Parts: sequence; C-alpha cells; structure tokens
Amino acid sequence: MTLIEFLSGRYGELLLKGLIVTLQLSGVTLAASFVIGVVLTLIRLSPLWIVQQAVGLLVDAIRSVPLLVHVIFWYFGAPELLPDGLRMWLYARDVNFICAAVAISIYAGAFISEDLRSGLRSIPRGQSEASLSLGFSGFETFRYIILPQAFRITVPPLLGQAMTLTKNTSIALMIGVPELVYQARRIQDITYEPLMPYASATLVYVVICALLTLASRAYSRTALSHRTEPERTPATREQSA
Amino acid sequence: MIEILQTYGMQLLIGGFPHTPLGGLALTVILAVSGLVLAMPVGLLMAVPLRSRFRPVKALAELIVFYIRSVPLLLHVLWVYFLMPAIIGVSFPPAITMLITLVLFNGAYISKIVVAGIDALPRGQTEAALSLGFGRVQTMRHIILPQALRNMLPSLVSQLSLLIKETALGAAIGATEATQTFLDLADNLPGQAIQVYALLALAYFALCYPLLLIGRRLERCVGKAQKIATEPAS
Repeated sequence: MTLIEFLSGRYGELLLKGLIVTLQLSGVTLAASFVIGVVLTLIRLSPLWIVQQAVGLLVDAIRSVPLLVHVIFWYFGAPELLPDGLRMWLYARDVNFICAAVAISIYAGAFISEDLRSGLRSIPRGQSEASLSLGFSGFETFRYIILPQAFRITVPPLLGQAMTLTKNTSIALMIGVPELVYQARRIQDITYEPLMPYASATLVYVVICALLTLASRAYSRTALSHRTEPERTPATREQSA
Repeated sequence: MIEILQTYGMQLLIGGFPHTPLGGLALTVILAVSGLVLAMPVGLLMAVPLRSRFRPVKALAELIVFYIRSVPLLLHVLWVYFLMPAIIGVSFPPAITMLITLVLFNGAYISKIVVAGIDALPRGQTEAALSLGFGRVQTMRHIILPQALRNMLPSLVSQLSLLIKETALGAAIGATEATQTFLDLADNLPGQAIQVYALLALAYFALCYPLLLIGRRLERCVGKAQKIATEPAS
C-alpha cells in the first residue's frame, strides 16, 4: 500500500481530522500564550523590585516543569479545585481540549515572555534617553520608540516559539485530545501497522515547520536587513520541549 | 503532602527497585544525565558534516537536523518504540527506547550549539593556528574546540534541564520515570491526587531551577570572558 492509497482511504480522513484539531489547538494556544507572554512581560516592567522578582520566579517555575506535567495537572488536578457550577460547565464542554489549551498556553506564555523581555533589553538605553530628551513621555517612549523596535527583533524567536508550540500540542494526546499523533496512534491500533500513520503525521509536522522556517527567514531578510546599526538579535532562549 | 512523602517517598525516588528495574526520580536523572553525556559525541560528530565545505554533504546534514528538530519528540519516541523492533528485530525496554530517542534528538540540537560555538570564534584563531603549522585536525582539537566548548557551556547546562523535562515523555511508552511513577501513585490515592501532582511539579522544579540559575550565571561569566578576550589590547 502506498502512502497515497493509505491517505485517500478512511485513515486519511481520520488523520485530516487530527490535523484540524492540531491546527485549532495550535491557533488557540498561540493567541492565548502571546497574550499571557505580553501581560507577564508588562508586569515585569514594574518598578517594584518585589513584583519583578515574583513574576521572574513564576516564569522560571513554569519553565522548569515539563509540559506533560502541566497538562496532567490542568486535566486531572485543576478541575477538582473548581466550584461545582464551573466544573459542570467545563465537563459539558470539550474538557480535554480546554485543559490542554490552558496548560500549553501557560507554558508557552512563560517562554514567550522571556523572548519579549530579551527583545526589550536588546534596545540600547540611548534610544529611551534620546526619546525622553526629545520630550516624549515615559509611556510614549515605550509605545512609539521602544516597542516597535523590540517587536521587530522579537518576531524570529516568536516564530520559533510558534514552531515549538505546534510540536508541543502533540503532548495533548496524553489526555485524549484527538490531535494528529493521537489519530496516527489510533490507526496503528486498528491496523497493527505503524509505518504509514506515523510517516504521514511526521510529514505534516515537517511541512508545517518548513513553512514557519521559510517565513522566519523571509522576515529576517526583509525586516531586519534594513537596519543601519549592527545586528542585535537577543540571545536565543532555550527551546521549550 | 508530608505524609505522602513519608509513606511513598522511597517509591517516588527509586520506583519499585530492587524488585523491579530502577524507576522514579532516579531514573529521570539517570536518563537525563546519560542522555546528555551520550548526545555530546553524537552532536560533535553531526557538527562535522554541518560545517563541511562539500555542499551536498552539508545539505544532507542540514536536512537530517531539520527533520529531527521539526518533528515532535513524542512522535520520535513512538517511531523508535514501534519501528525500531520492526526494522532491526530487537525490542528494547521502554527506558532504553527513551534513552536512544533522547540521544538522537538532543544530538541534533547539540550539533547546532557546537556549530554556533565554533562559528562564534574569531577567524583569527584558526588562521593563527594554521600559520603556526598546526594541521586542520590539530587546530580543531587544540585551538578551536576547547574555546568553543567553554562558550557552549551555558547552552549545555540548559540542555540538561531540557533533557530532564523531556524524560517525562517516557510516560507515553510506560517507562517508569518520575512522571509515570507519580501518576501511578495518584491512581492509588484517589483523594490526594492533586497533592501528588503538586509534588511531581515540585520535584521537577527542584531539579531544573538550579540548572536554570547556573546556566544564567555561566552565560554572564562566558559573556564577560569573551568580551575581555576580544577587546583589542591597548
């Protein structure tokens, strides 16, 4: 049986369903983790030392625990702590998907906030000093001078995080979210033949990552190459796994 | 929580050992450390074709590394777990399967770290060594690698904490490392499951957070050392 034959049958349909769930999960968590990352970064800009340290420790703690453990905690543990009404509401919905999304968003959010922070830090102090002395207020300086530059520098690492996040959604299979690898495994359970389903799933991930890599390269070429100053990409954070 | 630790602490630490193969947190640490130690030579070896001046070799190496990095670790684990036996006819216990996967997976990441570490060194180092009469291999062995390895140290420390986290996926194939052991315990203590999960998270935090701090400190030291080394002597 060739890959084409395999994919055009009902197994292809199952894998397609899995792919859709993977993309949904990736999309939702990408958006949510970006918001979480931005919020964490903003809180960390607080002038209060204790707030900075507390959020820093929280981010480090989130990053120190494997994603699988986050997922397990949010699926098996957290619903127990919810009030009854909320729990019923949750269980009436797609509880596996929601819990996986929450766990992955928080985990990826911590990594994204690190990327954003090192992006902000890579802007030389002269920029804010110059802008302040030109009469911009503190907020205006941040909004119009620092943020646009920092964002531009942070896009490539963020695309890297998007790639990692897409791969990480596969961990949701451990709590029964029917994403791509889950479907591949299910097909293997039906056919007792691992090669085709795993090869198809692998191919999909390779294509997704190739697209994101190309996007990142194209971005670096166009957006970052016009800078007159020497390149100051932030130190790459370790990949989340 | 204290009670759970008092009653089941040993089980969480080493699994059912000596009645069953070693498990629990001990297995997690062993898998991670041996994974890193074995992935180092793999990474160094993979770095050679990555820096090859012969284009097809370089392209092939890039392709392999890209493949390894673009597929989720969980899928790699399943490949090794289900297809290794089919291909070579020998099936390994889950812990060994996990180790093989971790070594190959991290080898690819480390090879990138190695290449970045070598490329970060000023060209003058190679040129000076060559003009002093060192051969290509000698230059690499005595001049470039020692310096590159020092620069790579922070990345390698964070790689170890990544490995510790990655071993958790052993639970997917039934390797009795920390996550699997804690999950089994949570099944046996239905009322206290959430405390067991909290303990599990704490255990990983206790393992990885110090590594994170050490990595950060090393990064600062290496950064400073590099700054001094590359500043022109006046």
